[in-house]
Amino acid sequence: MSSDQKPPRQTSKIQWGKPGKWRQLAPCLALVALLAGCDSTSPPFQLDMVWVLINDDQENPFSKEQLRNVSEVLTGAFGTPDKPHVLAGVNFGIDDIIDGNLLAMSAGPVGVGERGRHRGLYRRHCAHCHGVSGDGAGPTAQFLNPFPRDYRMGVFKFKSTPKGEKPTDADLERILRNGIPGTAMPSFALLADDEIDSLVDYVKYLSMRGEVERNLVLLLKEEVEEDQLLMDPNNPAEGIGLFQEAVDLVVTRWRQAESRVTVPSPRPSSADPHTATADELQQSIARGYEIFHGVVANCFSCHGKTALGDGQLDLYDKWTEQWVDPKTHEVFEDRLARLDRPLVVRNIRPRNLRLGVYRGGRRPLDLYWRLRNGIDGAEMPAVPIRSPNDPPEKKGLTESDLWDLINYVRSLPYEQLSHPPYRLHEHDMQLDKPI
Amino acid sequence: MGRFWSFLFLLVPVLGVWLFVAAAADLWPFTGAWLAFPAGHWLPEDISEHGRIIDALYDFILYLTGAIFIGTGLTMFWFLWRYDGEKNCDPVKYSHGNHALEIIWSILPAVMLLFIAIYQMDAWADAKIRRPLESPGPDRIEGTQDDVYKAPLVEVTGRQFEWRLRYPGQDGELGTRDDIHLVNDLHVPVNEEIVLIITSQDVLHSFFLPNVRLKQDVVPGMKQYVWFKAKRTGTFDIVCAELCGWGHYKMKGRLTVESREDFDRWIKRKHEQQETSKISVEIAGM
Repeated sequence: MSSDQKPPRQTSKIQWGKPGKWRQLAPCLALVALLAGCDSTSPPFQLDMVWVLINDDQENPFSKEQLRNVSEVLTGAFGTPDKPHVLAGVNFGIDDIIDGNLLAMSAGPVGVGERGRHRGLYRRHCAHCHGVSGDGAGPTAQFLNPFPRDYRMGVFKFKSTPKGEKPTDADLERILRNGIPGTAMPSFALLADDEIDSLVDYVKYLSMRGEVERNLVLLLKEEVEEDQLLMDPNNPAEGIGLFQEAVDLVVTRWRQAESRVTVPSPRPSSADPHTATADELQQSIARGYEIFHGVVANCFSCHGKTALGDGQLDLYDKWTEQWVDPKTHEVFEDRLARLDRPLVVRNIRPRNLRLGVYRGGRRPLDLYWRLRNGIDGAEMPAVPIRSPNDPPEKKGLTESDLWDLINYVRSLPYEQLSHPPYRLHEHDMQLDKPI
Repeated sequence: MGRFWSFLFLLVPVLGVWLFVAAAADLWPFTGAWLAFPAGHWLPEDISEHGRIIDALYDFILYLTGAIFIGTGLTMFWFLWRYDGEKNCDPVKYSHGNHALEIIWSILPAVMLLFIAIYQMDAWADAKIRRPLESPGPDRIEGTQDDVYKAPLVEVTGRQFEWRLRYPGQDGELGTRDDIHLVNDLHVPVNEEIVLIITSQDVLHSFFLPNVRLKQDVVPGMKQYVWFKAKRTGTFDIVCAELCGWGHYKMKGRLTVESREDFDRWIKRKHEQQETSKISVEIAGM
């Protein structure tokens, strides 16, 4: 190729004077404006598509109209993330449980209202992990272990009420103020009292809304004829009846939470560090050691013989069991595919009791509730209890056994694992053998 | 056109100086009024004993660098004005490689830096090296091996995104059963030398108490001691001064300085709350 065949150099200079260039630029500017605009619109509540899939009939799947109808019913009943409301009146009674004014402080976009009061508290403090719908799948959720809580199942772990019951306001407030050590949940202790109250109500709102949604999908599957709408405009009475049923189950539980609080038995003076002598306390801890390793309480089978949390490790919590069969360990890829964000299926870990980190609180009272009631949604069961009047063949721990066990658990972080102060049983000596 | 550029560059020292003067004196744009930022952009109130030394150093370095900044800005303006290509008809003079000039602008900054380095040594040692002593030990000489250090009041552990606190309890020892575990709510007695152990659980944080002029990066796996003496009671901020993740901005705590009696009462109440086995006490404590 000779040099004279070289094509003439093209000028790449943009000639700004020509109108054509501006015309090319205009769509770009419009796009930028559009993107910026999109960012400021509020996100809607999302339907729980995984729950829909779990309840879907392979042959007769829910139609788009049916699902849209469920969404509309939910929007009618609970409003939108920007304008949430609670159904009032004796029929529903949600307004007994949630204060609409408090709810408004947490709802909507982040901002500053009258007299410098913060608004949009949920989106400011919570939504990036727990998600706008309370699904525990906000933008930062995927980086965390454990994953943030999905409120929509209506199950809460750390509370003063038994398994299956709802937490009290004080339970939720305690979690907000103290955070959950050992997880990514931080403390919000410095928020104003009414801001905490507002967030408690908003969490209850999201949880109730989520649970009603789950109930509606169940009712749609079980009670509604194929291709019929849940809330048929032509036959509203039946739809309202179904909705009432979906709400009643949830409202009843939340309303009775306060009355379901487990009141701890008085701690025997010989097991109370305030009143017991050093000797009595040591004996209490030693009794706790026996109970921990006994077959009635069976603590060691999960938490391990050394309480390092290395016992049974192949269990899942309630939330993870949506993605995996706990018996076969088969992962339901089709359900995971319905999520917006990647999620890893993880086993639930029994706590290492020697770290001195207590997710649900370190007070003897907290540990009492964990033992007496178990941990909802997790595999930690409530210990079996026997009263002094029970026949001797009934297996269980007495209330004073519980306090001994608590003393032992509270002593674990300060005990040298290599020189345990208690005589190990023969079966305990085989620590290297699997259970 | 040359005149335009000289005035434009003159704006740099003028606006730069105004920014500092306005921030210090709450003038526009720091008035908090319409079209302005909130007031109070200058240093926060200093409640500590050693803070005035830090502030004096800060002011000294600010004035020094300020003077150099203004001088440089004005020199640049003068060169742009004097040697404007359209107005200047003088023959070109080449000064590149001028030995005397190079010596002057090497030695002058070196002397200044050396002066600052020596001038601040005592302040640095007070803030970072001379850890408060309980007693100088049997030999009664400070700085020897048998010195008894003052026990830390509390251990502060940074964690995404909160400050976990551990008070040693009555036995004065950390890591024992009577430790008191709290979060974000640091209380200290007034007019006492306070020693803290600070560390991190996960990533780099920086423990910053703006009102006592104390700031120290915390590193996972590394325990460090910091100390201060607060001279007045009140509540102040604890903030994180090292970008530690997306929630860095909300890693805030509260420092409460109170009288010794109030502090003792408070710590006793916190211990009782932590040890409670009854619901009634819990509700009363909240």
